[in-house]
Amino acid sequence: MEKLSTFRSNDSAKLLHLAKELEKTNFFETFLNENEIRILKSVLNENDSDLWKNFIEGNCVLRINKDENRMSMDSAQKDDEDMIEEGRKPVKLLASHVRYLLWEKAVDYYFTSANLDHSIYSIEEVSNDYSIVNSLDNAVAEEKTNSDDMDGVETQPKQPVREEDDDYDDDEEDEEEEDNSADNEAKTDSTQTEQNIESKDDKSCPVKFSKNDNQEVVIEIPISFFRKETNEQDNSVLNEASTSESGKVDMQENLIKEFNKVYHNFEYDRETLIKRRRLEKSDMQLENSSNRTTDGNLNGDTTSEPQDINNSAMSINFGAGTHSLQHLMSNIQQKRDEIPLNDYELRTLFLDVRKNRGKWANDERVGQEELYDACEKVVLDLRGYTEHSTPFLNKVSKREAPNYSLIIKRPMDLNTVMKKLKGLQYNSKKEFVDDIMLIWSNCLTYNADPKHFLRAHAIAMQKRSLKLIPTIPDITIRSKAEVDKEEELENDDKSDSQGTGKTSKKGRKRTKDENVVVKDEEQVDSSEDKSASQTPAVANSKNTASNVEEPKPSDTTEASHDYEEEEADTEVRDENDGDQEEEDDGLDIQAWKVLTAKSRANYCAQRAALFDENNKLRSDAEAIVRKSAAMTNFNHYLMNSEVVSKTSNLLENDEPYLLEYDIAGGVPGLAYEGVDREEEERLEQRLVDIYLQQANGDPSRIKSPFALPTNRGLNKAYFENISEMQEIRRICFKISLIRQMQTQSFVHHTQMKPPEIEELKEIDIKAASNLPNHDFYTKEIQYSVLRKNIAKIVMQTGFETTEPVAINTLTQVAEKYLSNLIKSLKLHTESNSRNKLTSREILLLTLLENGIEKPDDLHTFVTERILKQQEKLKDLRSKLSAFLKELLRPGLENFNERSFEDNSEQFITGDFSSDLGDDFFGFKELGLDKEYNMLSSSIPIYLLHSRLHNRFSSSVGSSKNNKYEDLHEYPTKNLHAYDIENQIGILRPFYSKHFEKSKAHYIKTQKKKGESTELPENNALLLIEDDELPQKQRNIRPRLPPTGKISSVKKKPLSSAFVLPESSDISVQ
Amino acid sequence: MSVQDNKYKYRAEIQQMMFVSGEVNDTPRETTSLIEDIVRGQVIEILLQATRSASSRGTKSIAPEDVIFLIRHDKAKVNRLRTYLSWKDVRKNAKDEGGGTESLIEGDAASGAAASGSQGNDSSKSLTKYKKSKIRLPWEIQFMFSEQHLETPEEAEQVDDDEKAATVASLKRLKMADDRTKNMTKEEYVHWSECRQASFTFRKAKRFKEWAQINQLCDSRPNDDVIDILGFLTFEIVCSLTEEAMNIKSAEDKLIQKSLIKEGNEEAKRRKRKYLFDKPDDLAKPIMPYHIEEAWRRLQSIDFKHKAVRSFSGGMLKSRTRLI
Repeated sequence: MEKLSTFRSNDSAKLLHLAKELEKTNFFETFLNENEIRILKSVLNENDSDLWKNFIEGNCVLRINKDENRMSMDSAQKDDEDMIEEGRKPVKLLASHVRYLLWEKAVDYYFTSANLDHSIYSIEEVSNDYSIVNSLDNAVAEEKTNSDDMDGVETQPKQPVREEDDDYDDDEEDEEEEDNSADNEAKTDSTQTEQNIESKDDKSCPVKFSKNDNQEVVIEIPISFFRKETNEQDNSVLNEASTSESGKVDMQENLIKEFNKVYHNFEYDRETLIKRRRLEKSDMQLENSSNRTTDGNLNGDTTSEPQDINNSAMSINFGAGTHSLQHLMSNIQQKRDEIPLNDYELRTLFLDVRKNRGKWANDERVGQEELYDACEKVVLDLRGYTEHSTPFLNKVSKREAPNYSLIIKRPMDLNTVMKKLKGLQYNSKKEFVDDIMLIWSNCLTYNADPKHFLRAHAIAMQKRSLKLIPTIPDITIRSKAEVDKEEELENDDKSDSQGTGKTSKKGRKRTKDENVVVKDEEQVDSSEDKSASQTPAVANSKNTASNVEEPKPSDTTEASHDYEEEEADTEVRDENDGDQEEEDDGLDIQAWKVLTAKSRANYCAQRAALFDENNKLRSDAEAIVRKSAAMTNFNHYLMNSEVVSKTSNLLENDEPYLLEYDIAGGVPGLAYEGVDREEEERLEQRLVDIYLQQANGDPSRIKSPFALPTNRGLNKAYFENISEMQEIRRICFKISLIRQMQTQSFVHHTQMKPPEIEELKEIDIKAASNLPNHDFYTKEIQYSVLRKNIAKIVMQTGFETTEPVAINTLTQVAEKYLSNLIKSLKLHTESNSRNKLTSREILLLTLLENGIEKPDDLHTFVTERILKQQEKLKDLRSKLSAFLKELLRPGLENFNERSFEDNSEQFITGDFSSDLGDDFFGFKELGLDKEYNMLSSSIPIYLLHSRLHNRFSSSVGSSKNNKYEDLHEYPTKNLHAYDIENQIGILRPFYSKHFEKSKAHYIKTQKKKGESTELPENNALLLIEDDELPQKQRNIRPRLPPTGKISSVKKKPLSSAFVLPESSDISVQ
Repeated sequence: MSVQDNKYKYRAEIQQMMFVSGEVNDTPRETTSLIEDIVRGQVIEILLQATRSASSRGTKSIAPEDVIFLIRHDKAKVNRLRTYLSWKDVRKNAKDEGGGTESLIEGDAASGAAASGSQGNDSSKSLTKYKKSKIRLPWEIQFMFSEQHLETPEEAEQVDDDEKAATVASLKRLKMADDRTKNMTKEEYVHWSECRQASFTFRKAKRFKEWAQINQLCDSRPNDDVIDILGFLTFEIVCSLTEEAMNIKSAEDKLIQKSLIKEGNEEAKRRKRKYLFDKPDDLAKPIMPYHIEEAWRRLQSIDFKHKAVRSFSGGMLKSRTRLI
C-alpha cells in the first residue's frame, strides 16, 4: 500500500495532480455546486502548489469583487441563490469537501486493491480512479521539477501544519473585522494590505489570488465571474433540458450511485416525514376539488371535435411533457444524420406513434397537451420539494395572518395553481409562470422582516422554480381556427425544410431551443413584480444583449432593498438550524436529501406505524414485509453494483433504495425465488396434457402405486371378505323381512327397503396428485392412503360404517406403530455397537421388538384371520342362503299361473314389485325360477306376504308335531249324556253337573233359534265343552305363569286354617 | 397358626394340583400359601375385569362369556374350557335324566378326557345326543350378522376347526399326563388320578365364594357356570405356575451341578452312578417360594406385542395384572 503514501503523508503536490486528473473526468461536478467548481477550477488552473496547499488546508479567504457592476451584482444575488458568501468559512467548507472527496478516492483505492480478486467489487468508476492513483507516482515525479521551480519563485516557504492552530484565532479576529465592515465590501478590501500574486491574465478567469498578512491566501473573484458562468451554466442546463433530459438523469444517477458513500443519519427524517404528510394532505384536498372540476373537463372533451393532430403547426417540441418518448428522442438526436427522414416526417411519425395521449389532450385547444403536461410536472416537482414547499401548499388562512388580504391583493398558492391547471385556466406559459412567481413574491412582500424564516423558504422555492421553468415549452394555446389559418404558411416551411434536406439537426435544434430559452427568461423576468433585469453578461450571449441594455428606472432603489433582504436572509438561515446545515451540506448531500425525501418518508411512515403514541410497540400493527425487489436491491448493494432505484428508472418517480432504512435488509435472499402462480398453472397444464395423452384421455386409467390391485395379494382377500360380508348382510335382510311377513299381518313398505350397500371399490388418489410434479410423500396424501387401508381392515373385521373420529384415531395409532417400526430399524442399523448385526438379524430383531416374535406369525395371521375367515364367511353365506330358500319355500309352493289368476286383484293393485327391483328375493340365484316355472322374476309382494303369513300361522302346530315325532295328535271324543255312566265314579258327579248345565244351555239356544226345546233322545245330548259356554258359566281354571311354575296359594295362618281329616280328603273331591 | 388356617384353605388342593403337574415332593407350607395368594389375586382380577365388561354390556351379573372373553386370546384354553362346559351341560342333563350318570361324572372331572374306555356303547350314544348344545361364543363370526340360520342336525354333527384344535390340545395334554404316569405304580396312579379331580370349587362353591370374597366384589351372585369356569381356571393357574417353577428349579439344579463339576468336585462325578441303597437324591428338593416368585415374575412380564405401541414415546408403561 505504499502507493497510498500520498494520502498518508498529505503530499500536496501529488494531491494536486490527483485533483487535476479527477477534474478532467468531471468528477467534482457531481458533488460541488457550480460556484464551488468554478473556484476549484480556477485554483487548479493556477497549477500553483503553494496556493493549492493553502487552499486544501483551508487557509483561504474568499473575497468577491463587486466593483465591476454593482447593480447587476445585486440583481444577480437575488436571482442566484448559489452565490457564495465571502469570508473564510465557505472556502474552508469547500476545502474540506474537496479533501474529503480526494481521500475518499484513497479509501476506494485501498479497498479495491485489497479485494482485487473479487471482480464484482471493481466498479467501473473506481477502476478508473484506480489507474489515476496508480499513475500518481510517475506523474508527480515529472511534475516535481515544475513544482520545485514554483517553490523557488515563491518567497514564502511551505507553511508548517502547526500554524493552522494560530490561524484559528486570527480567523475569529478577522471575522469580527469583517462583521464591522459588512456593510461595505469595498472598504474591507482597502483596509487589508494585499500582496497580489498575479495569475495568468485570462479573460474568462479573472480570479485573483493574493496573500494577506495572516499568511492566508485571499481569493478575489469578481462577481461577474459567477454571473457569466451562471448564464453559461443556465444555457447548458437549458439545452440539456430541452434537447434531452437524459443528461440530467445521468447526473442524478451518478449522484445516486454515490449515495452509498455518504454517511447518513436519521436526524432529518422527522422533518421530512412531517412535510411529506402535509403534502399528502394537500394532495387529498386537491384531489377532492379536482373531482369536482373533472365534470367540466369531460364535457369539454366530449364536445370537442375529433381532429387530426398532424395538422397542427407545432415544431417538434415535445418538451418535458412527453416522458415516454424521451429515450427514443435522445437516441434519434444522437443519430440524426443516419436517419433518412426529414423533420416533418419524423414529427408525423411521432405523432402517429403517440397513441396514448395524455389527459390534457384536447383537439380544440392546440398545444394544450404539451403545455399542461410540462406545467403539471413543474407544479408537482415544486410541491415535492418538501424541504421548502410546505408553507406554500395551501392558501394562507385568516387565522394564520389576519391582515394578509390587506397587504396581498392577489393571493396564490401551489394548490390553487394546480386547480387552475385542472380547470384549464391557463392559456400560455406566461400566465402559468406569473402565478408561480406570484407565490414567492407574495411571501417576500408580506414577510418584509428580513429575519423571517419564511423568506428563506420562498427564496429557495423561487430558485427552484426558475430552474424548472425553462423545461416548459413556450406554447400559447390557440384555437383550432387560428391554427388552420397558419396551415399554409407552415406548408411553405415544410417545403423549405425538405429542400435543406439532411442538415445537421443537432445544430438547428440547439439554436431553436436557445430561442425558446431566451423567450422563457424574458417571461420570467417580466413576471416578477420587481421586474429585475437580466444580469448583464456582455460577451456571453448575443441574444441576451438586448435585454441587458434595457434600463429599469426603479431598479436602483429596489435593488438596494433587496440586497439588505439578502443579508438578512443569511442571518435567518443561521437561526434556522436545519436550513443552515442544509446550506452547508455538499451538493451530493443536498441531492441525496431531495431525491430520497419520498422514500425516506415512506420508510419512516412504515416504521412509525409500528409504534403507538407512547412509543410502545403496537402488537397488532402490520409487520413490515420484506419484498423481493428490496431484497435484490440489497444484494446489489452488497455487491456494490448500482442500485439506482427500484425500477432503475428514476423518472418513473420511484424512490431510490436506501440501505440504512431497510429494516428487512441484511436478511439473506432466498436461494429459490419460487414460481409464480401463472407459471405454475402453465406447467401444470402441460403435465396434465402429457398425462392425458398417456392415459388416452381417461385419467382413471393411470393408477398410482397406492391403488392396490384387487385381483391378487392380500388386498384381494380383503376385498373378497368384505363383499362376502355384504352379501351375507343382504341375505340377512331378506330373512328378517320374511320373518316379519310371517309374524305381522301387515308390512309397511318402508320395512321392505333393502339396505343400501355399496360395492367396494379401490379408489385411487386424486388424479392431480399423480402428476409428476406432485409429491406422493407429502403427509396429507400418505395419511389419507393409510386411512383408506385402515378403513378396509376395519370393514373386513366386520364393521359396516365407521365414525370419522374413530377411523382417524385408528389411523394415528397405525401411523405411530409403523413409525416405531422404522425407528427401531433405524436405531439398530445406526447402532455403534461392536456387535454388528446382519441385516437379516436387524429385521428380525425389529419385528420382535414390535410384537412380532417371528415372521411366521405374520403368515399365521394371514391364514388364520383372513383366509380362514373367508372360508367361514363362505360357509355361513351358503348356510344362510339355504335357510332363506327354506323360508321362502312355503310361500312359493304350488305357485303357478293359476294362483296369479285367483289373486289377480292383488296382483293388479300391488305395485311394490317395481320398487323392489329385479330378483329381489334372489329367485334366480336360488334357482327357484326354474323350480317353480316362474314366468317373471318378480312376485307381487302382497301375494307373497299373504302366503307366507298364512303358511306360517298354520304351520305352527305342525312344527310342534315335528318336535315330538312319535306322538300323534289325540282327538278328544265329545261326551254324550249316556256316556256319563261309563266314566269313573270319581268323575260322575262332575259330569252329571255338567250335563245339567249343557241341558240348560241347549234349551236356551234352541229357544233363541225358535226350534223345539226337546232334548235329543237316548240321552244323546252332547255335553257342551267349557269353551263353548258363556263366559260366566265357565269353570275357573288356574292360570299358569310363563315360568310354568304353579305359584302356591298364599298360606294362611295355621290357626285360621280349617284342616280336614285325612280320610275324607279324597272322598270330598 | 389359627389365623393362617383361616386364611389359607386350599393347601391340600394346591398340593394335589402341583402333584398332577409334576411336583413329586412334599411342598412346604410357604409355597402353597404363596400360590394360594397368587391364585386369589388372579381370581379377584378376573372378577373385576369380568364385572367391568358385564357392566359395559349393561348387566350387573357376570355371564360365562365375560370370563371367557378375558382369556379369549388363549385359544387352546378357550377350547378346552368350551369342551369342559359342554360336558358339564351333558352331565347336568344326564343327571336330570338319571341313570348311568355316575360314570359320566367321573369322566367329566377329568376335563372330559376320559371319554374313552369305560363307557359302554349306549352311553356314548346318549352323549352325542346331548352334545348338540354347543357352547357358542358371541364373538364368533356368525353373530356378526343380524340373522342366524337354524342349525340342522347334520351341521351340529360337523366338527369345526375350533373343536379340532381343542382335541389336538387335549391330546397333547393327555400325552403329557401319560408320560408322567408311565412309571407309576398302581397305587401311585390311583393317587394321581384322585389328585386330578382336585378343584377349588367342586362341591366347595360356598367356601370358594368366601375365599375369593365374591360377594364383596360382585353386585349379584355369579352364575354357577361362572364358578365352574373359575374352578377350571384356578386349576390352570396352579398348573402353569408349578410348571414354570419346575422349569426354573431344574435350570437352577443344572447350574449348581455345573458349578460343582467346575470346582472339580469328585463327588459330583461319582454321584452319577446310583446305587440301590444310596441316600435319596440331594437335588430332589421341593419347590421353594422363590421359585414361585420367579415363575410369577416371568408369567407377568409384558411381551413386546403389548408395549410396541408405547415405544419411543417415553413414560412409564402401566399395565394390569396379566391373567395366567
